Amino acid sequence: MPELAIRELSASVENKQILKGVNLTVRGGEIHALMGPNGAGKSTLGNVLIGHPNYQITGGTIELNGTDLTHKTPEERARAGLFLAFQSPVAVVGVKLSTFLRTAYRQVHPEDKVSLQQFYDRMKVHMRRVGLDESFMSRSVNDGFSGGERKRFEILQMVMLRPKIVILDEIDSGLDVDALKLVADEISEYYNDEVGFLIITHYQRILKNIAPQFVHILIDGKVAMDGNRDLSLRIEEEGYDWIKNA
Amino acid sequence: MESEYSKDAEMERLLEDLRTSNIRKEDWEFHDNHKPTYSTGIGINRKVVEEISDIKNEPDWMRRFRLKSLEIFLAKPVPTWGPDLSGIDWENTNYYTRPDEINANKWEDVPDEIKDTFTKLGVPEMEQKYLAGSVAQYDSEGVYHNLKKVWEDKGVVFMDLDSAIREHPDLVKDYFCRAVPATDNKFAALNGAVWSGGSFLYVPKGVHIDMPLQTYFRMNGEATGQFEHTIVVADEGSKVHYIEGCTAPKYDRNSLHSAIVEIYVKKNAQARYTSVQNWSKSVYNMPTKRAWVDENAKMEWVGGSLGSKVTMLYPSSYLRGPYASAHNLNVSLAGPGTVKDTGAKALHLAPYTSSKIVAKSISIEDGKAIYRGLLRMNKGAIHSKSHVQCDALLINDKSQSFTYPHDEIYEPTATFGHEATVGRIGTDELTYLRSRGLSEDEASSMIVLGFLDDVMKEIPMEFAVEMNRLIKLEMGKLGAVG
Amino acid sequence: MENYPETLKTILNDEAYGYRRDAFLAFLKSPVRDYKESPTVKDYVEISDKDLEKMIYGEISDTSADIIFDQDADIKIINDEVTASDQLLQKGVIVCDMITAISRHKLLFEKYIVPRHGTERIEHLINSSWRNGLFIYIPENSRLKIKIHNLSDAASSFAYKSAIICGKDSQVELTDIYGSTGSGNGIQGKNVYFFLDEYSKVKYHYLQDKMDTVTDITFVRQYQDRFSEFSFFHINHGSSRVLFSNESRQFGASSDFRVYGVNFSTNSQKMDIRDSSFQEGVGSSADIQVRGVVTGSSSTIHRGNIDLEEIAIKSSGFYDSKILLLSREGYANSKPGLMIKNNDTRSKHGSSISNVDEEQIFYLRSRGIDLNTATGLVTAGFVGSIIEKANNQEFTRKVYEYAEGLGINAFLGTN
Repeated sequence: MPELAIRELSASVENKQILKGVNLTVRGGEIHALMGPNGAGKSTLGNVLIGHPNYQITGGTIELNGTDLTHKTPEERARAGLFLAFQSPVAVVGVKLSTFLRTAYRQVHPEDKVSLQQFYDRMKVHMRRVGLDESFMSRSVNDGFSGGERKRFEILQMVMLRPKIVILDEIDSGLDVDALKLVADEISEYYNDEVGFLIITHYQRILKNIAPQFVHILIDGKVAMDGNRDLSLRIEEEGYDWIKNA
Repeated sequence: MESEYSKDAEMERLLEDLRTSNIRKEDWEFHDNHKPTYSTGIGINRKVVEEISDIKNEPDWMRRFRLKSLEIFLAKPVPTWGPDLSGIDWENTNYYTRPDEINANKWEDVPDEIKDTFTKLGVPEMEQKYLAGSVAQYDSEGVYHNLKKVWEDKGVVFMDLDSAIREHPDLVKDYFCRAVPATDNKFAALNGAVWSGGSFLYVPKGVHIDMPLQTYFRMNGEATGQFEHTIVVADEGSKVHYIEGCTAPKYDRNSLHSAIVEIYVKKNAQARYTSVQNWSKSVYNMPTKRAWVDENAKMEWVGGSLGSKVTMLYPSSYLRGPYASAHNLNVSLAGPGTVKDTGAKALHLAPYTSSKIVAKSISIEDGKAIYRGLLRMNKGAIHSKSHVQCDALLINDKSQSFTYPHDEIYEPTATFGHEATVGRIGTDELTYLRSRGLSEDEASSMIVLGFLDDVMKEIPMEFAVEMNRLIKLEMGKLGAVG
Repeated sequence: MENYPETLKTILNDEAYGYRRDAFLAFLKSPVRDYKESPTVKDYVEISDKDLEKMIYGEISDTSADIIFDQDADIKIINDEVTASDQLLQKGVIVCDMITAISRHKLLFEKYIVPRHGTERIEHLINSSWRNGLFIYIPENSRLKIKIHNLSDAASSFAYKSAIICGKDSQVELTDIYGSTGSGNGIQGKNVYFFLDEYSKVKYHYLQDKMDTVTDITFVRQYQDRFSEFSFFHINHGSSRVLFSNESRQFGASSDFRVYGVNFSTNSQKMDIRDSSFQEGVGSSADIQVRGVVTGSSSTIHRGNIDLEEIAIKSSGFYDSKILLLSREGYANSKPGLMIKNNDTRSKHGSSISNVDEEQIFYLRSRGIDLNTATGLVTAGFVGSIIEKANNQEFTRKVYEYAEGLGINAFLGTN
């Protein structure tokens, strides 16, 4: 069973300290929600976990299944089974969806000798499910995509690459109700004992579709409170101030 | 017929030349046949330069500098890569006007066109006379004295360059012609030889001058403006805004102008230099303006080029220290029969430097507006960034716009982008405004001012107001627009 | 160069003598640096007079025995020997070498070629000194797809002049591939002139992939009559020095000119890629998009003017250059120009120079793709998105092959 262990993680961007000792463990079969006010460092955590070069880790460790990922490159983390669905994925002009996913898959799963045709067939099945037309296969990655299309494509990548720990950064932003349901269904479908989820969200919207067992509140770069689903409900009603004041 | 042009004959002649002599082909190339038109006696020569130095009672080093500059000036060819400069009357140009001759501009001699414009702009008569060159100084002594005291207490030096050479020779020597050496170009060399007038401004470490300093407040200056040399030094951590020029048309009998402006922005300092020129339409305006920008310092050039027959002006920033930045904002108005060849240069010589250049031009009737720029990122200027934006507005069907940026990138981590657009006043916009009751003239000026908006808001209020009036005036002269 | 006039009078004293002589005079009159309105006198691809001499006197080396032509080429050219397929000739197309054309198709030569002179210095010299070239005449109303394969020995030096005349209403797709055999550092110059009669449409796919010791000097000109359309896809990959100059002469109303260009400079290659429009026709349009990739210690400069003349009202011109600078030792320059002489037009240009986008690379890496592969993918996408518009599988394949072959691992912006 996979286990992502984040210990005393501190990180800065442009010499500004954002994360100040985060502790969090996500295991297979678990769904965690990470909530917090704007500027608390939620998205920073996602970027630090996947190894964004603009963020410097100033302390602590990130381990996946006992392997230290703290100073690994993004591709090494991805190959180890970590996946981040970005809040605003970047467009890569000229690189086709199909080429991109096939290349990534080969590098993440070199053991799978799936044929090109089989791979594309598999891809088409999932594209239908997340609501992306087949014609997207020959389009450039995220180029000219609407906000919703980008999010659907992130989910498509998740199911195709079969990661062990999935971090969803504000996956519900830019999605309408129907799309949100489609995405949530796909996430639920993918969810099993061998996969752990960390859902980063400001609002509680996505949590209505995917019920977390654990809820953590990030305030000023630290986990200020841990709880269960009730905590997220209270946040929805009362906001974050009561935790800050606690 | 002897006079008839014959290609065969020309061919034969050229071939004969080739066979019989060792003439290098450069000698008969058609593009490069300029010969200096003055050697001794007329216009400018050693005697003239020595005389200027004598009148000014200058130290020896300055005299030697002038003579050296003269040599360089005579040796350098007239640049041919830009506008046609063949109209410069080198021989009949006054290279130095003695101070006691300055008042010689008789008010009656000022062309009616200029007087007319003054009146339309509502410039008071005293100021009109100053602008027309018939009064040497603009009376602002009262304002000046109070401010002068405050600045002097903080160690600020602000005076005309001649006085500064006498009173602060060592300070001046540290900066004089370091950023713009006489070898830089023909016109800089000319200035070196015959310069006269201009300001020297030194702002000590950490001193912030919140109020813009204007040439109006400079006393004892020679108001020729012809070969001025201005030096601004913003020492470490200081902040200053220097303003030069005026939007009202300025009449000058002399047709050749070539100023030098040198700005030194030291570590963590900020300098802004605003200049607006509106010389009369006989003037060839060829200034050289350059800033050295050190670590984490910030240089801003704001410029408006309204008058003159031909202007060639490319304010340059040498970004010499990490995190140095430069920002150029320029508006050029190429009126009927005039050429504005303006632009900017930014040289990124250190890591993490940034530059932003915004240039706007408006061409009226057969006016020709040219953007010419150089952007260089040296190897080692890691993670430096630059963006250049040029927009041109062509008012009439014969109006012209040319854009020649030049970008040299030697550093793979640098990011550079350039964009230019050329357009005219859109019929849709015009119709929309007119449908709301505006006259065609009003609507057009409104659109033009909208086009200039992002530069206008950076220009000091009184300048912006005058510029507005001037543009409306130019547009009004045209009658129907479009 | 001193003895050249004698050469002109003796060896090159053929039926094109008058044209050659005028061209030489024009060459003599041209400034050494002849790119329009240059603020800095700097040649990015230095071609000395000695090089030019080598080119004009010519020196054809025997090509090695094992010449391999593309099997599907309709016209095969080895040195100045032109072979056209029977199929093509049966369609009424005239295909021959230029020397043959000036005597056998004198009227066409005089109608199309004689009145049209070049604009640049070396172009004039080639117009004077060409030893041969390709001549194609496509009759009115033709619908054709022609593939040309040019081979020459890398040690050969020569000046060629080619002319392709497209009759009224014709529609032609031309693929023109230049390669080398053997080895050597020849100086190879060519002028390729297109003459588009009214309503003709040309798609021109150009690939230069010569040996990396050769100097390639190419001038492509399009004389476009009214309502003609020219789409140009060009790839420059080979040769040590490339001076590639492409400029339309759109004298016809509503003529349309589109350019999609890609170049790769690697190792110590130097490339000067110029794409310009010169528009005199009312309602004419030009749209130019060029992409360059720089690795090793190579250099690329992109230049391009949009020149809208006073009479070219209701016209538009766009130029866009993007260069990826991927190595520490390489350098990239751009010099776009707008020359707009009337106000009833639309025009715009843009240029950018940068490394591959770090955010894009990071995104690909976050999905498990290694740095080199990610850079290769982004680079291939960068050039591929332009050349794919040609809808020419061979060209698309080539571009991806070139991008992948760059071996981008020496240096990247980060890490």
